[in-house]
Amino acid sequence: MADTYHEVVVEGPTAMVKGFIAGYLVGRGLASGEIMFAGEQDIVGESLGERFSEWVGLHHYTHLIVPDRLFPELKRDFGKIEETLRLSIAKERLIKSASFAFRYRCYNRGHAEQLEELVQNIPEGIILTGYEVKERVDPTAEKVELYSPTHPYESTAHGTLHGDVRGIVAFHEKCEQHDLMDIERIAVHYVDGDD
Amino acid sequence: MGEELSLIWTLPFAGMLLSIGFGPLFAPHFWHHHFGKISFGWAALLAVPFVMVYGYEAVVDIVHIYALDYVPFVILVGSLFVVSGGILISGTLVGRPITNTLIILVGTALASWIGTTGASMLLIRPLLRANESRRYKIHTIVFFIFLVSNIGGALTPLGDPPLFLGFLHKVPFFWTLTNLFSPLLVASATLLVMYFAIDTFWYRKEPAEAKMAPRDPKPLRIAGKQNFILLGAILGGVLLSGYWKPTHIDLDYGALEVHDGELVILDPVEHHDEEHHGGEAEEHHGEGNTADHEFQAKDESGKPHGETKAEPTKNQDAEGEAETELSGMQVASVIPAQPLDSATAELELHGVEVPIQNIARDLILVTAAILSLLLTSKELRQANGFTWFPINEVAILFAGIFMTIVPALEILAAGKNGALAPLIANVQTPANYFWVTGVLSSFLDNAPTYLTFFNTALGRFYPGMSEGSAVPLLISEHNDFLLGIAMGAVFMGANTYIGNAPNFMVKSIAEEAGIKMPDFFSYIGKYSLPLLVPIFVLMTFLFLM
Repeated sequence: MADTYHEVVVEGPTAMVKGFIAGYLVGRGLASGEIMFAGEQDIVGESLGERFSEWVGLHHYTHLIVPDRLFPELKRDFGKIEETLRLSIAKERLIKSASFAFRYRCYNRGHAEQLEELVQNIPEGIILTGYEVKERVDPTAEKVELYSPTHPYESTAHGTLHGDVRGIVAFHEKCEQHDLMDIERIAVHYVDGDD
Repeated sequence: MGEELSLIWTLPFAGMLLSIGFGPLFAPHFWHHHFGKISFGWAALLAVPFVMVYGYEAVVDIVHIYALDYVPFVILVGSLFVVSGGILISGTLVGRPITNTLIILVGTALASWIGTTGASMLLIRPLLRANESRRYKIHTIVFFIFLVSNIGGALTPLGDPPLFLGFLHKVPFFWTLTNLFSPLLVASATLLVMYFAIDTFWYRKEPAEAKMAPRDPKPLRIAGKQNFILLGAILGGVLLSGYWKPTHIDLDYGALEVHDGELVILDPVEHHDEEHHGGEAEEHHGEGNTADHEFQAKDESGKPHGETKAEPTKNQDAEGEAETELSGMQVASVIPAQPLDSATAELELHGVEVPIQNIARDLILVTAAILSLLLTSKELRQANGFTWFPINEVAILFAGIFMTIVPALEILAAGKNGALAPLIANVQTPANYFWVTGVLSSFLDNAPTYLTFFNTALGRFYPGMSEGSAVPLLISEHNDFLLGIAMGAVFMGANTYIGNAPNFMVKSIAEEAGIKMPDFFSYIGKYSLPLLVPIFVLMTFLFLM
């Protein structure tokens, strides 16, 4: 069964947060990716207000994605180091799911098939919605054109992939490997419904 | 006429250039299917009222530009395309930074001799194959466009269409080599070093599998080598037209000959008879007339020296009878006071004189193309992706460009007395010419842009003077202006996808190979502005200030 996740917004210097989390995971014998940093995983994190606040140097925020099973202890431990490291949890929310939108455009039937296969063969726990493919074949298009270039074949598609945070992050990484895939940042959806 | 024409006559030209620039960008499918009709529409929009208002004068102008610019232009572009399309590079190349840099260097060096389109077509597929397993390769295609599809074509009139138009308008063949060599060297060396550094950076980031040597490498081979000889013939043909000034033309119906610095038109019948029947020539003197056969002599300024049928010469008596005998042949007419080295023979076509050497050049080029088609296998051409479509595109679109450019050239030739006087007044220095020609060449086709500013310079310095006289003066007195125009047209075509014809072709072929090329604005923002523009600024200071 997929984990549920919390988004934990930590106030304090990012380097300090990273150091603390690295030590925390090693100390508990956990894998380094168990707690994810939203920024590193291309997850939409900071709000506009937070970005402005950081920009003017008022506050520093780091968004962590923490599995539910680790969250209670992490929250407790942050309480313990608040005084010494000056790191504190500013906000935490339970995540329901994550998603990202994608689109692609290619001019070769072979590439179109590869891309279609990629988004159709999604792992369990991920759902594809709004997938639309448009193909355009122009028999008058030539292999070499100087002034009126057009492609003999063109495939465009777009859609959105939804699922649990871990699965979406992994699949986002996979899509990123494909040159022709345009992917947006991962959005997280909260249990309380306020995205 | 140029002094009378208002700017409204240049609108079809502007429309034509904007259609070519932005049609493929914003409506590629529509443009692909209808560019011929659009080109014809702009041409007709100009031609119909132009001929109605200016009558025969307009017809002569149109015939002039078609005979002296359009036909040779299409023949050169077409023959280079056919011949270079018969050369195929096959084998395994591995896309390491040094290999890629060498491919681009070879393409840059070749572009001046086989044209930027030919060099791009020849090398883009080997480059793509070499980089098939590479993840980071967009920059490679962009630098290929910069150097092979544009800057590399600067050294000869064969390299880039604007330079060939300059050649057709009496800029000497080797002017480009002597004047553009240093700018080319600075631009290409800087870009190649830059490319090598960037590609090395990205190569280090490539996953291990992208760096692995291919399992079954095939030796590098060049097929269709006979086409190199034909490329030599094309070069020879173009050189011939630049340096051969025929002063003696034998035809079935007559002959021209130079005696003591004078062009002598021999009686055609006598000449014919003299060759075949010796002394019987006397009986026919005075019957044939070379002028009736559309031959006349002309100086380099384009002005006829004498109408052979009407004007008595020093060798004719008062009754107009030609009686002088030279070398045993009957003289029909003698054109006096014509220096030996400037007398040329031409074919007249509706008031437009086409030099014999140009006809010879075009025949050589067409023959080279035909031989290439006969001597190269169809399979080889198929592997190169060769089709006739690009030649059709050039023929159709340039028919429109050359039709609509006529009033603009007339206005510019009138200099400060024409409707484009503000342009002439405001574009003042060689650096101005470089940047204005360059920026416009980035967004409009560079060949007509070159021709426009070439005429702007001529109109500015030598208004009303014929090209034959004005161009040598421009080169001797204001060479930097021509340099600025040529550099702008050739180098800045690389600034956008629409700056030069091969740019879009390379983009299109790369996209079909699965490379996600930057869109129009990203290409400018990410590559042209940061990489090319600083080089152009440097070149302004080095060569034009």
